[in-house]
Amino acid sequence: MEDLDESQTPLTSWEMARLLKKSLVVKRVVNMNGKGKQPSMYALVVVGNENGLAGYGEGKDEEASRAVRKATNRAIKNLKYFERYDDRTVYMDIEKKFHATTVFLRSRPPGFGNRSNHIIHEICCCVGIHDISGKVIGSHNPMNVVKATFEALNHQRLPEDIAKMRGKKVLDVQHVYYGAQ
Amino acid sequence: MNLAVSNILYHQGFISSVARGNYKAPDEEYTPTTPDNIATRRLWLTLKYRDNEPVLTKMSCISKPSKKITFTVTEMKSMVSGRRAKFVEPLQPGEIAIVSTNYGVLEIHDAMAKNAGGLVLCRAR
Repeated sequence: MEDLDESQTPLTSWEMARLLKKSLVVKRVVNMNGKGKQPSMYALVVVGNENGLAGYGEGKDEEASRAVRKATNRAIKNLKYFERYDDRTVYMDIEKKFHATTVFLRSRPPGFGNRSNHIIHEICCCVGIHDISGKVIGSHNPMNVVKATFEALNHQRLPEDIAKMRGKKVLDVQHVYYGAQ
Repeated sequence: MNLAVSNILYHQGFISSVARGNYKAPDEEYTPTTPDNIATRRLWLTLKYRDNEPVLTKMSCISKPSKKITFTVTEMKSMVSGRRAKFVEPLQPGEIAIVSTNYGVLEIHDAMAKNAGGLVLCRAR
C-alpha cells in the first residue's frame, strides 16, 4: 500500500500534504475465524482543506498507523465540495437522521464559534465552517455521527435553488444593505 | 379556510394551481357550493417538482386543537427574523408561516404589514 499519487487525485502532492487530517475513530476490531480471533485496527479519518472541501474514509489494517494511512487515502479520494453561507456557516438549520443518529446543525451569526459535539466540531473545522451549533440526538456512535453530518451537509437546500423552484427573487439583505462580506 | 391556505401556497410558488371541484375531477365551469353537493366538494392542487425533488417538502401545523398558539406582531417579527417565539421554531430561509387574523387568512409577512396578530395555523417549506 503506497501513498496517493498525483495521478490518482486532482490535487497536487503539496496540496495533499496541506490538508487538515483528523482521525476520529481508531479502534481494535476482531474477526472470528476457524483459526481463532484475528485482531486488526480500524480507523475513520476526516480530511479537509478548510475551504469547503472535505471527505471521510475508513481503513483497516494490522497496525494502527497503516490503517490510518489507508483511511486518509480513501478520504482524499472521497473529497467533496460543500456549500457554505459567507464561507463561515451553514445556509439553514438542518436536521438529518442517519440510522439511529439524528444530527442538528444550526446556522449561527459571525463570531459565535464552533460549538458542537466533538465529532461534528472536527468535521466542521475540516470543511471550514466557523460558526455553527451542532447537536447529536439518539445514538452517539462516532462512525454514524460522521456519516450523518456528511449527509446533512450534502443535502443542504440553497436559497437560490428554493427561489428558482418557487419562482421568487432572492436578495441577501446582509450583503446588499449592511455591506457584510 | 382550506381554500385560503391553498391560495397562499399558490401565490408563494409552492404549488402550480388550485381548483375547486368534484371528487372525480376539477370543475370545468364554476359550480356554487350548495347543501346538495357539499359532500362531493374537493380542492384540486397541482404539486410542483424540480430536479426530482418536490418544491413543497414539509408542511406542519403550529397551532393544534389541543394547543392553540396566538402571536402578537412582536412575536411574529422575532419568529421571522430567526429567533424562537413561544416554543415555535424560527422560520428558516425559504419557509413560510400562515396566520389567521381578523383580516382573514394571511401569510405571516402580510399579517405583519397589516399590523395584525392572530392564530398561527401552519408552516410550509
